[in-house]
Amino acid sequence: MRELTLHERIRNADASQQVENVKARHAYLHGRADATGEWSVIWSRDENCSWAHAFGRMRGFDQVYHGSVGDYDKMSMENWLDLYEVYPEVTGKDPRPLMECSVHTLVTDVIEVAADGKSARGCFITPGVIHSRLTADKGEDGKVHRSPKYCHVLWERYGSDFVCEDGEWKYLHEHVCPDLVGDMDHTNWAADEYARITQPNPGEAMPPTLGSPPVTDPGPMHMPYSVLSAPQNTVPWPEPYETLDNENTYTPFVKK
Amino acid sequence: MSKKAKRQYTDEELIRRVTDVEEVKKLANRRVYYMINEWRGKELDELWVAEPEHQKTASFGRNTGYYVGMEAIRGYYADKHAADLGDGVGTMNAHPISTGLVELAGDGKTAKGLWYSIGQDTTPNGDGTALALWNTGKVAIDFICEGDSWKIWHVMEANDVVSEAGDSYSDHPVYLDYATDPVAVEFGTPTVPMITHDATFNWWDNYPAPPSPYDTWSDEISYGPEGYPEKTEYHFGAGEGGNY
Repeated sequence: MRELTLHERIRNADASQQVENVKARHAYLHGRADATGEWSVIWSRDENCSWAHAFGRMRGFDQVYHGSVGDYDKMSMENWLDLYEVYPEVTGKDPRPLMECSVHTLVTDVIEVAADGKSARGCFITPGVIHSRLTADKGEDGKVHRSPKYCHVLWERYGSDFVCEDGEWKYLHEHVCPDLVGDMDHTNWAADEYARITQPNPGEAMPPTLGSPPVTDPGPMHMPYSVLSAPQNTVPWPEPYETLDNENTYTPFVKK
Repeated sequence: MSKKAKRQYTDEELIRRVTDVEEVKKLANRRVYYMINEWRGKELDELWVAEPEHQKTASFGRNTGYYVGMEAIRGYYADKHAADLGDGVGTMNAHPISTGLVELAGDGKTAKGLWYSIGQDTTPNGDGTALALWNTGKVAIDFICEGDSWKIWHVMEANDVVSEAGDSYSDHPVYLDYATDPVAVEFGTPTVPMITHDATFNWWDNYPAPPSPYDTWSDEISYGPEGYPEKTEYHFGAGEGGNY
């Protein structure tokens, strides 16, 4: 890595703060399930943008938009239709934030801005919460019933790449790595997983995310904790780097 | 702030802005430690605004309203709390903050920040036992520069979840009873009593909203009561495209 000039250091210090803000803005938009807001404001439209989770990696803005906005909105609309049956006070309210409040709090970030100042990379941990007050589901009688409010804890790691476009910092790649989820203060993820896999006929593990949209790179890419799995270093922290390339990225480029 | 109006900065101006943002973050973090140490009066004296015109408009808000003016804030936040606290034995309150989003005004004179806290409040019951609560929510703060020092001007703590440690949140009623909710009861009767954030509907009300880039201060963007969005946006006066 070459020595940066004072001007470049100042530029990159500012860029690091801007990237922190983009990442945090994502957290607050996602907390309202405002996918339209997120993908219209803080995401690059570049053909190389990507979004990955346990289920695999979506590539290209169109595929990411379909999975992260279209399919996500669909879930919130379906949830609202159920809620309306048992909680009529949702009338006239945006269905999206009523789905749940998924707060991926951000800590322990390592952010590197490229020497060329055109990109930045960061890894983060979220010890977050997901909560919702008004909830409903269909019972065995086929009717919609009120179900208990909930507050889950969710731990994930993120590997995120950002690019500067016309002076504005935008998301380019996101790789979400789920580690554990369960009821707040009532979860023993190790005991729960052991109990599940030692049953005579183990059921499916709790899905690590809502939905499983079409992907270009099939998963699994990072799976939640299991008593049978070793530690996964799926999104290692970024090292200082010159420019965003296949040696320095959370998503290898296929069109570059 | 539109892209068209966005200012360009020299290196000297830009590094000043970068360090100002770091100062603001440290100030927000320091406030957490003052709270843990139960130094609320000291917090108001040392971290909050000191200039009289800023003290008049300072505010501290929660889900059920705002205390406005330093005298009212001190009466609730420091004096009442100190009386409730007694000798402090059996008390441990911590609201650590994460997920910081700080916007420094284009003119560099004010700043706005939003954080999320997964915190706890532990208070003695008076019989040798204590009540331990998880407490999660947004913490929104406006800052203003007085002389060479950044100061806290408005604080809004919008609670989402309160749940007794070791208890099941899901086993409790969906609807909040403000007459018994420990956060609402503790907040008492503020200067401006109003429901600022109703977590029944998760973050549908989007309050407090994440700060947007801005050039200079105006009361409309305040995290105090003067900046609270008109309720008509949300109900019968929503208008075309409202509520979404």
